[in-house]
Amino acid sequence: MDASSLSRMLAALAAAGDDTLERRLCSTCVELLGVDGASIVVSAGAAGWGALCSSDVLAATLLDLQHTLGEGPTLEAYHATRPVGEVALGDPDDPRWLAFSGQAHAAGAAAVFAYPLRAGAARVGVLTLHQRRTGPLRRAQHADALLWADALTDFVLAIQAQAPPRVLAAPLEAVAAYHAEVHQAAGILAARLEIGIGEALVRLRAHAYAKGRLLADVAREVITGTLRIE
Amino acid sequence: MTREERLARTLVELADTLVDDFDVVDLMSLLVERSVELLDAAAAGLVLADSRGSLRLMASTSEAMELVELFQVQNDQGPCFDCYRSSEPVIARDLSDATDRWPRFAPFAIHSGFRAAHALPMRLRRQVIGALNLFRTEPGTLQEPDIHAGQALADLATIAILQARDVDDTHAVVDQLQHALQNRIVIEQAKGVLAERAGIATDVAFTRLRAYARARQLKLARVAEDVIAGKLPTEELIAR
Repeated sequence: MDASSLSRMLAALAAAGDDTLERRLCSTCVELLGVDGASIVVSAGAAGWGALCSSDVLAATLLDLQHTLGEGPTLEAYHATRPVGEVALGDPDDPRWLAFSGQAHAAGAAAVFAYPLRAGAARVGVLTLHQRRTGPLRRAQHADALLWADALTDFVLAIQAQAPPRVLAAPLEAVAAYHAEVHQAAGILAARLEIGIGEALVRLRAHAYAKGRLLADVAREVITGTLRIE
Repeated sequence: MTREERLARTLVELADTLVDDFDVVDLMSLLVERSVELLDAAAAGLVLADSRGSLRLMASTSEAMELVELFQVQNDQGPCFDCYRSSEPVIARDLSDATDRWPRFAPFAIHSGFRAAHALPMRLRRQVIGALNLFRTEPGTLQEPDIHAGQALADLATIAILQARDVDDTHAVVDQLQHALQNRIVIEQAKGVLAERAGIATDVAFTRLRAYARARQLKLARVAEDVIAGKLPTEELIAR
């Protein structure tokens, strides 16, 4: 796979109609790289990130876990701006991520590989791959993943560049909508307890962690009023 | 140092700018100064096309030169103009023979003390971004090696300028993307804040926020920020 074939593939994806673009992007990742699952997240800078797509439930779960726990390969790759890989998530003696590794393994992931989407010094997002068997990616898979990460970065930016100024490009809508309930719940909690939004988010996360639940699920219950956090 | 060594050093200097951070204005000044040192020219000027295709003087080696260039770009006439339009080098051996070709530019250049002009395109593949103008005080063309050397300098500088523009463009898009996403996050947060304060559902809160913003022709994200900061009274927001 070379850069120009990637460009052609992306152009074909784009031309196919952008209401299913995200799904096609992720399924293409899986086919192209020969992995069991993939997800793409886009960064909102310090304000957080959102998923553009996940190829399957496990890929989505791996993101949900990181969204809740605040640790994991996607987040690490984002901050380190270099690929992060864990070939044996289930190793009990030396978990790479204290909370994430065990839960990810329990969900069915044996190995994860995260590739930052970077444009020079700018961080655009992360491509995350998972396998249901332990072991590293083949050298060709890794090389292709690096190329694909670059191509995805250019693609996301090219999509955004076509949008009017200060407006999110329509094909990237999923990123903005990702777990919007968490932000709403933070607002509710902030107003109720008269604290800052940041602190409200911390309390939501702390509650989710303490109860072993996903952040988005806790947020939904705060919104419907079935859960009151003090 | 021989001329060849100095030329090689200049090419390396320019090439280095491709890997390090550099200032585009400094680069262009470097280019015109080195051109005059290395090539058999008395003065040099660099013009770049702006977004409308008008040529603007970006760097020059002397004020006399500046006048010439300014004159040239103002009147859409002269070696730089022809060079930019054609993407090819333009060589005027003796400007006193060029008064038909450039009826306003040629006499003015001669009056400014210049007798010969060379314009080299600043181009990369099919993209032309401007021209490097070299002037002599005596009639005659530059030697072939000098023309090649000048073009090599112009080509390297073109790559560097285009690369700098690319980086700027990319950063601009990334900023836009992040701001757009941040705005959406703030709006979601404000939905929660207003829902709690007014005792309404979050989708109703969104309707209220949007109506408030539209009625006052404010940006929704700005209203959202003010709601979160407590700057907008709840009654005002939910009033119909």
